[in-house]
Amino acid sequence: MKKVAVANLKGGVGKSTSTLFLSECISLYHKKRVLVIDLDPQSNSSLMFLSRSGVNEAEACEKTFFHFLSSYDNGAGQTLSKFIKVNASDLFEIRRLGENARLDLLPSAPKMWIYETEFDRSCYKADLEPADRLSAFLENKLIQLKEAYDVVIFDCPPGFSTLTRTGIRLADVIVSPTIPDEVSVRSLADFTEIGMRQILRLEAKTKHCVIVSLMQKNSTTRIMLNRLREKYTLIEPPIGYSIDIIRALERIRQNSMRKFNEKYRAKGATVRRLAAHVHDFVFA
Amino acid sequence: MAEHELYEPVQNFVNLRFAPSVHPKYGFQYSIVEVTAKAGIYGEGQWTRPDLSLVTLWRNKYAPTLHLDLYGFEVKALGSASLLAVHEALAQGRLLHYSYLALHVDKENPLNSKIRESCRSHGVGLITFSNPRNPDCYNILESAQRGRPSLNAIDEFIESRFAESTRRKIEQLIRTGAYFDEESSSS
Repeated sequence: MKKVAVANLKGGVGKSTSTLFLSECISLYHKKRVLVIDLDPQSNSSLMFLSRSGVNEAEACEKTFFHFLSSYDNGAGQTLSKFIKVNASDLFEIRRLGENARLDLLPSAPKMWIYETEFDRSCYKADLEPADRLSAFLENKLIQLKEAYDVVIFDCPPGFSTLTRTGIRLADVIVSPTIPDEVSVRSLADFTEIGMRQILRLEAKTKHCVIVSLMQKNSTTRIMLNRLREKYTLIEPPIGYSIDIIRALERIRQNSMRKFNEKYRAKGATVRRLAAHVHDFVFA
Repeated sequence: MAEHELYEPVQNFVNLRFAPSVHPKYGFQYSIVEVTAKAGIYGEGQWTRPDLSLVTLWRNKYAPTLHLDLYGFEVKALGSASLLAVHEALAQGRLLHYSYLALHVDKENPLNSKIRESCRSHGVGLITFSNPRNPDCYNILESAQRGRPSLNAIDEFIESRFAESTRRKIEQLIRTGAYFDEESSSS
């Protein structure tokens, strides 16, 4: 089981969007059983996968990452599979593949903000590092599912919170989406230098790559792209932000389904190519 | 693996494959599986405790009523399956809608055809698995026939075997009708 964290210090760089298309392409075109764990209390990827009503239903049925974390307080915790929403993608093709490919989701809930704050407080009181405790707990639960999934993708919240550090700590590969502008590139440098190296002291075995969302093309973005190519493992092509991507992110109803080409339209080929390169990087 | 070590992997299979397979296509389903091997009231009779129990609360999209189904799973470790296990699952069926026997098998301990025949003739469901930890290695060889437990038996089963939090959740969903209005929630 490979674990991938989609993470960056900066918000709005396309972490949830990348989580959506990477998980769908890896499942569909590389025949992998994928579990997405939405660690972000904003629940963006949960909303993209399940729709608003689907997230409401998951909350009502107590099947979210928040409820899984709450079981931690009750002792040994409960089995992770209890909280997973199976067949989370709206792509027809993934359903048709049956047991050869899957895309399941452990949805998030905004209540995780409250939980995280309280969890941090209790850990610091006991002089413990919260991300160490949480990652040990989650890793223990993931071991039970190691033969059920080929890839686990953590959609991490922006910043360097306990939930983000937990996802990064557990990951074999970190994928950082970014935008080629001055602020985002500087933020990515802080994320790798301060966050990954100085705070988490990640060993060299944790692989890191960068993918890019292009809002517009101009001389600055070209300079920034070159800078990213020099400094990081940049996986290309960049994804141009467009109305097709915005449409792909929206699932109107819980039971609505569509085909890959209907979902990603003109961006389908680019998204698929980028995901193939990320897949090869993860499994190399 | 000993029988009690199989509970968690079988629970994962039920959560990830079995329960979704009985989910109505357009409707709603709340499902929860718990280890009930040691739950229940002592002295209420032999063979009244399935190792795992699944409760599903479901409704179709255009049907006004909620339904509740109870499933029991009698788990047997490698080499411990016998016709007696079929009768055990059959006896548990008086308290459940569906009763299943889940057997760990491998090349040295294959499924005895008499067990399968007996399951089929008694309406007991039969599941076999070669690798307990891989939910894709489970085969549902026979589907269980629906039993007709009394309403009192269902109440008694849930009351005495499921955790308090699960019972509270079931009650709450029954009270609200488990409706999640898509129109209002998307605004």
